[in-house]
Amino acid sequence: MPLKSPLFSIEHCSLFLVLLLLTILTFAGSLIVGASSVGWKDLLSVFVGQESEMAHLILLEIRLPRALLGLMVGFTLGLGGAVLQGYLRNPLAEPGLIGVSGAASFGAVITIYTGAAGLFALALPLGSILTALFAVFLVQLLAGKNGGSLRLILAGIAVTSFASALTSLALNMAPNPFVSLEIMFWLMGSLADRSFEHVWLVMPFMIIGWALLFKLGRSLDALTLGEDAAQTLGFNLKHIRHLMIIGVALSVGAATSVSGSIGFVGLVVPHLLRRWVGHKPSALLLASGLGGAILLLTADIAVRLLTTGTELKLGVLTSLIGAPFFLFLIVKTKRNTMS
Amino acid sequence: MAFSWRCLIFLLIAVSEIWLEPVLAKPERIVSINLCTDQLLMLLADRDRIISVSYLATKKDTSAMIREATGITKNHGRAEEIMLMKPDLILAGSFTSHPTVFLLKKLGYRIVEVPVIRNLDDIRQNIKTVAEAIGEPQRGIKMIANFDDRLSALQASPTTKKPIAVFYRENSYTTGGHTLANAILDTAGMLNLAKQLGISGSGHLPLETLLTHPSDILILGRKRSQKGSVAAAAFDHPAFKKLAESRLAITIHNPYWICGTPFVLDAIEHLVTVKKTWQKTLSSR
Repeated sequence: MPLKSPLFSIEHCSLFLVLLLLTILTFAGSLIVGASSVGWKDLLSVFVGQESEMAHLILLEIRLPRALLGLMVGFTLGLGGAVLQGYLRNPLAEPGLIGVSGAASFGAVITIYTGAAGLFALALPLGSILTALFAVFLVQLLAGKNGGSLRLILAGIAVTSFASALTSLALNMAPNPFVSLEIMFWLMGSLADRSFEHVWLVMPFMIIGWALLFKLGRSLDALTLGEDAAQTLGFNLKHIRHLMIIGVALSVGAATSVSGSIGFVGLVVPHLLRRWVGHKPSALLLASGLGGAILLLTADIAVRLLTTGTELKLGVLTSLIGAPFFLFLIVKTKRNTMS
Repeated sequence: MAFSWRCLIFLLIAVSEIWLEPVLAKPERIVSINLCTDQLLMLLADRDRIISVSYLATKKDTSAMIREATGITKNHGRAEEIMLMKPDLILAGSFTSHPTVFLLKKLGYRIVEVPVIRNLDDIRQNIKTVAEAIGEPQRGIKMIANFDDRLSALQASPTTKKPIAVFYRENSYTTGGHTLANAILDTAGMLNLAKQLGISGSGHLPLETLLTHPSDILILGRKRSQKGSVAAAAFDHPAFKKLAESRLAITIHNPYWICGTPFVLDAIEHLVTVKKTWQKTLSSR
């Protein structure tokens, strides 16, 4: 068992190069696609400092924060999915499993319901992050100090169901149809018209979360041998679980608070990339993060290209593509194991 | 470093521009991104000052001013498309997409948000808000005066016995107190069953509750197409059909009931006529 575990190894160098290149491409693509005709020529003129004032505003104040959030949210979902699937050794795990996404959504809905979301720009994401952190505290409490992973999943499901029930309650009690509409649209997930304030708010949470999750690489490798084996190798399971829960809570909670719930990215991306990194959980972390960013940026470009009028919601698109793709993956793996 | 300097200079210029501008310059490029502000804008401003209205302004089910709105550029409330229109005033509703409104505000655009209305007094307030924002306070005062004149003429008809009306829309939705619809009923001299049952805002009215409580007039929402839908299934229920036979059932013109504009008076006028019909059938019985 090699105890040293870098983020990526030389053997997968070409994979990471491809992923990095695609990330840069999709990020640039996200900058040049939008409702207006501002495109790559204007983007180039920004670098030489000769852009028009309008192009400057559109590129740097509207599209850049959107692209950055697409990158960060996608990275978070991909990474979170890889960590949870590695930790639980279950390919069906996804970042929302421990209840963070559900709780963050509920927190956002409450700010819309009470009208607090209209007071200042960060009211909604702040409310959302606070609720997510509270939910994680609750999950920790429910899962118990020495409880196994099964108990953690059950606690997560309980918190998610309760949060979604409360969300429905808020929709049900909405004072006027306009409030319900705004809540419905928010729940579908979108990155439209987010500003740098959103980026600065969620960035610290995400970076701390990512750092905690990346520290898990070695432990996840050991866990492939089973919990007992990992323990005899000197890994502290309790410590691993704490790191995992707090890391996912910070990063995924922050992601949900700016984008709403975006499905399937965290579930599908680790599956896609697993075999390219030799099924090694530690190598999958960075790969899956980049993969998530690529997928989300691509989807966010697609919603802008596909619809000229009212934008299709990002979360709707990822689920629309993600669900059939996931089925395809299941059918394929079944064939492979059978043959 | 060069970039941040340029940013700073840009910011300084932007700030000084805001300072130097007279506070109530008359906006010449007005964009509305909300159905209700669309209509107030078209009623109050000269056409050449309206750059764009929302895409809902020409939708048959929602807008009372389709004819006026045709030919005006439509928007979908996205920050980028609105910026390109170079507006000097943006009118929005208070539940228009919040991120978009905040982003436009941050970029220095002047945005006036008009709240959702709950009673007739809010209509006067909203007319005043929009009229002042677009620099036409006199037109606003005149419109409110006309509104009040027509309103008192409608209320002049003697109120004998008030019929109990109830909204029963698709998915058994009803409308209770603290809503524009309730204010319209009240002004037309009708009682609202849903309000009596303690429903505030929109609510669900079970068919059984509807059957067991006295009502005189059923308001079935807008005219529907012949094609059925699950939402409208309750209208085909035998129990409901029986009830509808013995009550006065009416449909309404939806666009008059959505926004706080003088079109609300047309909705009230319609109900006053309905009330007269009801009184006639009552006395002929």
